[in-house]
Amino acid sequence: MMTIRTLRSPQLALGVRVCGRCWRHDGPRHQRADPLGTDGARTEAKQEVDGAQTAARPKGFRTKVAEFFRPARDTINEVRKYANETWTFMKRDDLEQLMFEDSRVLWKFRGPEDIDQWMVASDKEMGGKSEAHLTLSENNTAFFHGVTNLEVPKDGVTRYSGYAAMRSKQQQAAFNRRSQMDFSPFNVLNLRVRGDGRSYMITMAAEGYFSSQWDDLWCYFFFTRGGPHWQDIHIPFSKFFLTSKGRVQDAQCPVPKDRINTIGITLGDKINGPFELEIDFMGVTMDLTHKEEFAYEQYYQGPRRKRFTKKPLLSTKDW
Amino acid sequence: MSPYISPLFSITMIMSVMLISSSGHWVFMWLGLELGTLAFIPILVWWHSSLEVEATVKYFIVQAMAAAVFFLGGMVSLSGDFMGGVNQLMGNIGDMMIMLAVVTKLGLAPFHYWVVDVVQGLNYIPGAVLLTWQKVPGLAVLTQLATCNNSSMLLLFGMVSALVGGLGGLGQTQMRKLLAFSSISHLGWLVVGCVAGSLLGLSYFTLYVILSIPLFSILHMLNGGHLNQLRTGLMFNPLMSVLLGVGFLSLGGLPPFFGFFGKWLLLTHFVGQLLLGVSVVLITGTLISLFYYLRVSYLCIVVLGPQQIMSGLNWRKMQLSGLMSGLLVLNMLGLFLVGGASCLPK
Repeated sequence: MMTIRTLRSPQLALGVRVCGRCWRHDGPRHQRADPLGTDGARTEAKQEVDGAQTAARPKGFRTKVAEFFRPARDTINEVRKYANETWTFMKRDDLEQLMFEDSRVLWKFRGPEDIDQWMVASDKEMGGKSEAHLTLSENNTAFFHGVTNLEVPKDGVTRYSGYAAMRSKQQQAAFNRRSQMDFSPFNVLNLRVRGDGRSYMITMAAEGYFSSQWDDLWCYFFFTRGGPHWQDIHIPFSKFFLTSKGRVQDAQCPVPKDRINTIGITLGDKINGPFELEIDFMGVTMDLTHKEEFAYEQYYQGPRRKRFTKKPLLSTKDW
Repeated sequence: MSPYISPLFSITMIMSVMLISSSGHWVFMWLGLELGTLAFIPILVWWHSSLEVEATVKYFIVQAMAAAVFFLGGMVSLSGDFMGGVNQLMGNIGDMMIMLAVVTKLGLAPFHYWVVDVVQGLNYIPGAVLLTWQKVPGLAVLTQLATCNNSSMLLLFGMVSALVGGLGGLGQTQMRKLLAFSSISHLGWLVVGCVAGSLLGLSYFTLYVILSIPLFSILHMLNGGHLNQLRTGLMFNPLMSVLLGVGFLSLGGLPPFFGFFGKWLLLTHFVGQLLLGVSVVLITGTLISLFYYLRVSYLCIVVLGPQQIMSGLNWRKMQLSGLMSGLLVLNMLGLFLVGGASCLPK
């Protein structure tokens, strides 16, 4: 049967499936930029454009219904997840382990799935030139490496630069709530690392209810030797000091071990150059011989008048 | 904090209870509640750590909100006197609002969520005061305001508290949270006792305070924030550890210890009044909470921890250790009471 379409395309007359845009060639429908559709293989760019076009295309009824009920479906999934968490918490199959354990391995970097639980940051986010990467080494350990560059970005705001950090990802519970780690049965943080001689900092972020606590980080330093031998580092939780937005706070307090959000390692030793840190594992231990609760004394510093003295309030000696 | 100022707060807290007990008007009851709350706030932030400040702010927000609802309820109740047709309705709504405010201040389920977070952030000593003494003003108000209209609601809240306190503490490994849920469970019994009769509630409350305060003190001395830390107690101080375990069994209401008699007293009264449903629910909640009391007692009494080289109680926290041990020995009194009662001629 002769139609307008068959007049435009002989292939169509022969029953060959042709492109619906130009009716000249067979194969999938091409975009305007490629009228002949000679590039049969779709590039990623084309797929993106097609995807955008697909999104812009009027939606079918089924799609609309599915989209309408998606929030309800997501909510039901979250409720199911919450119920599962509550049931697991009440059942507590791990209670015997929790009551009697002396040590716990938090991260043993043996595969990509362990590396995926961490994220990396550097001053590149604010215009700096440092680089940081976290990969799996050939020894099946975490390899934190990169370059620190002290050059300050010329934005008129930043005054210091040159840091690199890796931090564990925040664990999520149902309804996008943050889930914390509980280290209260333990009092020492253990690391097995092999470094390049530079000084790193362990940071722990705890859950804070008020916005003034959201930037609180408890920190402590560890120094690497730089040789081929592994180092076992033990840092008691009592040694960690409180900082907020990079500044050490006057009012110190011990780290709240029952609600740790993330643990991280930061390098910011004001040295230009490459860095390499290999991490075998991270864990926590209960050291019964370590009795210190908090290493930093808190006492009032300043002049204080003694009570019930005959000294006048003001005297020439005070001038 | 200056040692000359701190007694002022304690005296104010005692005066607030006296003010509530001696007044018959809701304004003075509200005043007493507010005095008690404001006097307690500086005690909560005694050590000035960030956790304690956070817990204190949470406590203050909840108490202030409840006080506002209390005052509003009082004014609604008062407005019923001036509005002829809706007098009864407004009066009931006002009483209901006052009751809900007091229930929130006490931490009775289903308004109990703040108790766990606040107690977790505090040290043991202010936590003990929060869970014992700070109940007195609220219970005094409830006892005076309990009417036939809201007593059924109070009974319901009490039963729910007993269940929630039992279920909530099941998976807990933090000692403070566990004690908070235990307190919620006991508060359910307390409120039901207050509805049944003020003397019953007072007896149960006295018993609860006598049992709780030594437990908090011993835990403060042991510095045990987690279940895991209790298992080493038997090695370096077996007497304190055994007394702690017995104290928890007594708090759980296990016969023949002292804590059983408070529950026995209330149950006898309820069964006599044919409130069997209330009794069943309360017993169910207690049996559930007994699960985690037994867990703690098992760790304190049965488990031998690893050998230690340099071990011992913190000497700075050993004040009144003798008194607290004596109070815990009181738990054994139940044995003599039962033995003595069984020897009496019938």
